[in-house]
Amino acid sequence: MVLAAHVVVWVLLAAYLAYLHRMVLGARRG
Amino acid sequence: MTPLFMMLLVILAQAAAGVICLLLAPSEATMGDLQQIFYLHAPAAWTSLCAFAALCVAAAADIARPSPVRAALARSLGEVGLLFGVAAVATGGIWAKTAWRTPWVWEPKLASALFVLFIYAGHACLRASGQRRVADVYAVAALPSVPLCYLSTRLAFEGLHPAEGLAFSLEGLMLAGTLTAFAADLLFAGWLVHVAARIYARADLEGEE
Repeated sequence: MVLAAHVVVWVLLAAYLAYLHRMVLGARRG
Repeated sequence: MTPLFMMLLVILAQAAAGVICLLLAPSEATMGDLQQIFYLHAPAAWTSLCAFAALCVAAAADIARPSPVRAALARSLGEVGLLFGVAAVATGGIWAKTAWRTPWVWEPKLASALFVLFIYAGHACLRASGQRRVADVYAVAALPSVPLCYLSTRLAFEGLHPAEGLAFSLEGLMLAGTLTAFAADLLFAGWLVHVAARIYARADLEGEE
């Protein structure tokens, strides 16, 4: 259960960083 | 402070919190290792509420004197607050699945936390759709939901969720671990807000050119 909680936190963080990365690519493409 | 230095600081703080919470702090008498989820859950929830309170200040500043930097700061504070809020509710559910035998109960703290998440998800949607002025006013008006959520165990009937002051009655390394994890989460949230705000401010400035 403790491991599952850590995995959930890392997945959420990775999803947000991926979203920000998409914003950067979107801004570059205009 | 450069983003790289901030990132190093975040890694150091998170590592220190990890060592204290997972290796040094003793296991809790009744819950055992399951209690370690608390070190993820409570600091994430507090960081989320701090981000939403800071969002209100940034949004009010953007209403008073609009600028791309203030607007970007407001948007990133809302998103990072939402990220930590979802993490807090999700980790709380994982803990409750074992401790309460159900991941969700309709009781004051959980219901108000979900209410706050929906409110700030609304703010994120408004910003993503480009309605900056409406989102700023919305963020200022949404502020009362933050203390209401924090104090919900005192304001409403007694629920299953422990009272908010209980975390500070922990002793020794448990309290040290909780406070270090909170400080590490605040630093981490600050770094994320910094990175996101730079991206949004740049996109906004390029859009104006």
